Order: sequence, then C-alpha cells, then structure tokens
Amino acid sequence: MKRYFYLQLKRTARFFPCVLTITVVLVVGLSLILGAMINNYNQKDENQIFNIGITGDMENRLLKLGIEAFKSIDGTRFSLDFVEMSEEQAKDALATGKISAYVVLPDNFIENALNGVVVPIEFVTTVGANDVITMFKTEITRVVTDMVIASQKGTYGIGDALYENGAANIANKHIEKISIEYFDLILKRDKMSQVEELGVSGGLTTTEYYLCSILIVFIMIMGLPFVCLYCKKDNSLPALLMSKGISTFGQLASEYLSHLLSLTALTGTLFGVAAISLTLLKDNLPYTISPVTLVSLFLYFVPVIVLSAAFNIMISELSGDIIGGLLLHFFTTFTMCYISGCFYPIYSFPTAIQRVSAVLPVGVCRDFLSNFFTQNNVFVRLFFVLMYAVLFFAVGLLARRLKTVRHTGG
Amino acid sequence: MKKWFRRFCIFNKRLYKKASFVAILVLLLLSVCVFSLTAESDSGFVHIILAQTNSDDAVSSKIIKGLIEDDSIILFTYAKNPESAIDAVESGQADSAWIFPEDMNEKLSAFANTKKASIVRVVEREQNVFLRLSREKLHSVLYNYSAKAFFINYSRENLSQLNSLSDEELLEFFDNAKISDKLFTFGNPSSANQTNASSTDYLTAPLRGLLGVITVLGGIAATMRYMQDEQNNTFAWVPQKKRLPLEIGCITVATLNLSLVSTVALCASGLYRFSPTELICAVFYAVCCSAFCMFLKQLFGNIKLLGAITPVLILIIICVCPVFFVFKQVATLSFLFPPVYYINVSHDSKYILYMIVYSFAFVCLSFVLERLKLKLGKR
Repeated sequence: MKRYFYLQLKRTARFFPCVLTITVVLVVGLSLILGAMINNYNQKDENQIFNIGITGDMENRLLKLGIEAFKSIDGTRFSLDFVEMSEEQAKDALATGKISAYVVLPDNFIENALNGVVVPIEFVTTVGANDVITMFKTEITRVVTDMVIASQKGTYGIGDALYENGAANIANKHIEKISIEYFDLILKRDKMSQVEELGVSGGLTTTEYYLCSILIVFIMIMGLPFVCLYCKKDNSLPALLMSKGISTFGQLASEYLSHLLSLTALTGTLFGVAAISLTLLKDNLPYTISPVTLVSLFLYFVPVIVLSAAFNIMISELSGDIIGGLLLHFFTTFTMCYISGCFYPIYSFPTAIQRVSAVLPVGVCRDFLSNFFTQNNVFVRLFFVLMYAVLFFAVGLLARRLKTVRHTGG
Repeated sequence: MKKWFRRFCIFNKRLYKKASFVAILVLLLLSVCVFSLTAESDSGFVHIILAQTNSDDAVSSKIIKGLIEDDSIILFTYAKNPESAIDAVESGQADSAWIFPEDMNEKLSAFANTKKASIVRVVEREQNVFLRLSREKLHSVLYNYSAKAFFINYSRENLSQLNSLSDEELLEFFDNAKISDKLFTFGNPSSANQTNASSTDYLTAPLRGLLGVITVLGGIAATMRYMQDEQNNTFAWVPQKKRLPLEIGCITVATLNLSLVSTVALCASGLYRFSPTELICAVFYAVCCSAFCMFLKQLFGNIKLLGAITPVLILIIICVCPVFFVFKQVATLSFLFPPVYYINVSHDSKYILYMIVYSFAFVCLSFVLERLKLKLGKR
C-alpha cells in the first residue's frame, strides 16, 4: 500500500505545478474581486451613488428646483444622483451601466400636477434583478408615490376645505403655501428616524462574512481540476491492485491522502502569497489581516480542506467519466454554495432553505469558519465537518468497491 | 438528413451511456423547479426587526401590521420588546431594528410642528446602501401620518375660517381629496425587442446565468473528453478532413443537451414563458458554447492545462458576467464569454444575432490558431 501511496503522490505532483500556477492567478483575481467588494461595502458604500437619468419635459422651473433640492439632501445625495439627458442617451447609458435607471417625465407634468392631474412617470430599469436599483425599484417608486400622494392630499384637502367653508378667495394662496411646506417636510424626512450604529461586537461584519464565503467557494471549486485526474473510465487497475493484495480501502486512502496533501500545499501556498501581498500593500488597502492572523486562519481552515478532499474523491468515484464528473462536481458545489449563503446573505433566503443549508456541508463549513472571527465554541462544528469528511470518504469507498466487484464479475 | 440524425443519435449515446450525465440532467430540472417553488415563500434581501416600546399604541401597531403584511424585498419580523430586537441585530440575525416610541401620535405631532423631532429609533450594526434605501420605506410610512398631523396643525395655526371644524372633519377633506394614486409605470429598456422577459425575483434571477455557466462547463468537459479520445486514438479511423465536424459534433451534443434541459427547467418552473424563441436561443447558445470551448482547446491544447484553468475560468465568468451582480468596471469584458448572451437574450432578441456572430468569430479564431500551430509545428 505504501508503494501505491508514493505512486499516487508522484502522479499528483506531476499535475501540481500546473494547478499551482493557475491558483496564483486565481489568488490575484480573487484579491481584486475581494478588494472591489470590500470597497463596495466599506469605503465606497458610504458614497455609493446610483445615477438615475431624467428624460422628458424638464423645462419647468419648479421641477428643476425640486431636483436641485433633492440632490442637496444629506441623506439622499450619498445614494442617488439625477442626471438630465435625452431618452436615446438614457437608453445607451442604461445598456452600458452608466445609469441604473431612468425616468421619463410626460409633457407638462408639473403644470398638470399643480391642477391635481397626475400623468404617470415611466420608470425604466434593467430587467434582471442583479442591480440594487432594479431590486429596490418597487420600493423606491412606492416610497416616492406614497409621499407625493400624501402631500397632494394635504394640498388639495386644504383647498377643498377652504372652498367649502366660504374662503375660496384665499384658497389658491394657501394651496401654494402648504405645498411648499410639504416639500420642506419631504426634504427633512430623514429627521423622522434616529439612527444608532452599534458597531461590530458579536457576529460577523459583511467583510468577514464574505471572506469566509469566498474561502469556502474557492476550496470547493479547486476540486474541479482534480476530478479529471481521479475520474476512472475503466476499473481494471483497481481490480488488479485488489488481486495483488491492496484492498479497496488502501487504494482509496492512498488517493485521498495524496489529494489531501496537494490541496493543503495548494492552499498553504495561496495563504503565503496572500500574506506577502497584504504585507507589501498594507498601506494601500482599506482592510488588512496580519500574517499571524493569516497563519491562524490557515490552520483553522485545514478541517475544511479535509472535507473538500473527501468530497472530491467521492464525486470522482460516483461519476464514470470526465463530463459527468465535472458537471456533477460543479452542480453540487454551486448549488450548495448558493443556498448556503456564499453569494447572497443567508438570511435573504426563505426559512425552509435556511434550515436545509444549515445542515449541508458548505453551510456547516461556513459556520465553522465564521467561528474564527466570532470566537464561539468550535468543537461541535468541527465534529460535524469531520463527520461529513468521513461520510464522503465512506460513500466514495462504497462506490469504488461496487465498481471493482462488478468489474471482476463477483 | 438521415445520416446527420443518425450521427446525432450516436453522439448522444456516448453521453447517455453514463448514468452521471443523465443524473445531472434530471437533477438540473428538479432542482430548478424545487428552488423556484421554495423561493416564493417569505424572504427578504434585508431583514428588519420591528419592536414597540408600548405594545398598546394603536398607531405603531397599525404601522407594524402593514409592514409585516406588505409584499416586499424587505423581510419584516416582530420582536416582543426593544431589547430582544437589539439583541437580534447585535447577533447578526437581523440587519436593523426599528423601535417605535410609546406615544406615536405625540411624536408625529412634534415632528409635524418642528420638522426636527425624531420619531422612530433605528438600530443598526453597520451602515450600507440597502439599509439606507430601506429607511426610505420607514420615512414614507411615517410621512403619511405626519402629513395628516401637519395638515391639522397648519389649519389650526393659519386658517381661523376652519376653526369650527373638528379634527375628524378636517381629516375628511384630507382623505377625500381626489388624487390619482398611480404615479409610476415600469418600462423596459428594449420593449421593441422584448422576447421573453419575466418578472425576476432576486433569488431566482441568477438561475438563468448559472445554467448558462453549467452549459459552458459541459462544453469544456466534452472538449476534455474529446481530447482524451484523441490521445487514445478512438477516432483514428475518421479521415482527417472529417475531424473538425466530429469535434464540433462531440462538443455541441453535450452543450445542446444541457442548454435544452436548462430551457425546459426554466420554463417548467414558471420563471420563463415557453416560446419558439427560447428554443432557438437554446440551440444557438449551445453552438456559442461549443465555439468557445473549441477555441479553448486550440489555446491550451492540453487536457491537464485545460482542467487546471477551468475553476479560474468559471469563477471569472461568474464574476464578470451579470449572473449575481453587475460589476460595471468589467461589463465590456463580459462579452468575451457566452453566458452574457444567454442572460441578455431573455429581454432583447438582438442577442441571438450577437450569438451567431460570436460563434462565427470563435470558430474562425480556432481555425486560425490550429493552422498557426500546424505551421509552427512543421517548422
């Protein structure tokens, strides 16, 4: 068995440099993505401006005044910016992503509105729900609609009350006065809430959450190249080895250990490169981790590598060829990563999916890894991670045994 | 025609002989349907927990009930008291807590009078753009009540002619004012070319993109298998001039199966309406993926290298193409990869044409690369 183990090590080592080179490229790519996401959520998030185009009838003085006033509100100018443009320019800008949405103002919109006639404004966004403005478009338009309607009810309500109580001569004056007051009320709406920021005490920050998620996605997807290596089309070699006294368990354990060592070396190299990069670039990055913390994180990560290696071996054994192996690996990995909250926060899923993802291997790994930042009790989650690793190995072993026995005609 | 159909069946047999491939197709179909069903239940991109300082306060109870029953991208839940709401935020179970005061009417009047006095206490762990946009919802709900309080205050302070009316009578003028309640309509950026746009929920929106990525991966896997067969001389009996159609056949059959099953899955789950256009998209997308994979084969030329590059490539495709989020900085780069066309074709049929151009361009590129390699090899 020892000789077979060394043979497997040699086989993996031939493949390793290629995968290592690609991995370094991956590290650079992931670092850029992580840097962009960190910027998005930390620094840039405070000043993230969504550009919304305004097209149509822009001639009205009151409309221009309203937009300028809107731009100057403390709360809103950090979220939204309005850009005047033609409808053709707006379509192009939306297609290229320069604006998140645009509104088309009908002709004489303000004049009609002042007479109580509201001609609907067209609100155009991209169709896919992968832009913040598109996701929130219903909420944004409802918010604006509700405030405008409430203001108009007050404005025209005063007019109606004065007309019906013999004060028609002052109705117009007060309609205009109260509409300006309502406008001022809208501009000061952010004073209605008093915001307290707790800061991060227990739980994860968004950055820590996504760091854990990216590490999990990375280690799971790094199994893809090894599927090509371990997928077996024919089982004559395992049958021959069994006839020579190397049991199925011995064969699979050798393959598993060599794969585990290569994955660990790969991940270790990755962490090393990350430590060097973070040390060199620490002045330019908004968020850094010290090399010592990285080393601790790597050691903490080892059980996840153990699970991932067992998962890769299991997938290779269950699938009969490269196509099935790659697809099965990708499909199961990404499904688990998606519903376990590696892309969207876990609480954004329905309760049923959250319950399922809590027991999935990726969900268990993510919870285990998050303990590094939250310093919660680790042993229970470690037990489940290792239990899943044993389960995957056992399933792989069973699949190998059945295939070998079928091949030998036993 | 018969010959082509027979060849198509033979290529398919190679795939369907493997139980894992069939299992993938079935799993794809089932998981998309199950997921789209489960995604309909209560969820929200942002989780806000609501609490009352005084649970007997009618106004805050009405507001909370309205928010919880509202169909929204924000998930609202209720906490028994402000302390447990704050605990939920601290522990990361909720993004934000909105704590309503003891006497809402008093606070609303105070705000209407001064335009400064705060009404609701908002507790968050960290600020972000989603919570800022969510707070606008709170403001709009409170604004409705504040607008009424302001209406009463304005009447009492400025209009002695209305002093004979009670507050309730005054509010009748407010409530009965004839105002159109439809301020916005939603438009589509390419309504003239709309093919099969559907209303997308944030949970199910990435599915089309992910299925597109799976099709690309299937093409890469089929390419690697073809390269393996080439090494094993499985197709040694095939004349050289027929190798290119053979290669296209082997790869396209895999991508076609995957893209057709993806289309069936998306239509069966109700996320997209079935139409001949979707079928046409599926066929052209399969060809698109095959052209891309053929180019990769010529570029890397080696199974191990192609296998090693696959995870990097898949991650790049997922990040660069608008699968989950749109990263505007890399939007132009996304046109190098097939999934962007598959994602966008659902709301703009022009992308079918772009797929044809893309396929043609990449097949030509593969051909040119092959010739270059042969020439360099001969030297």
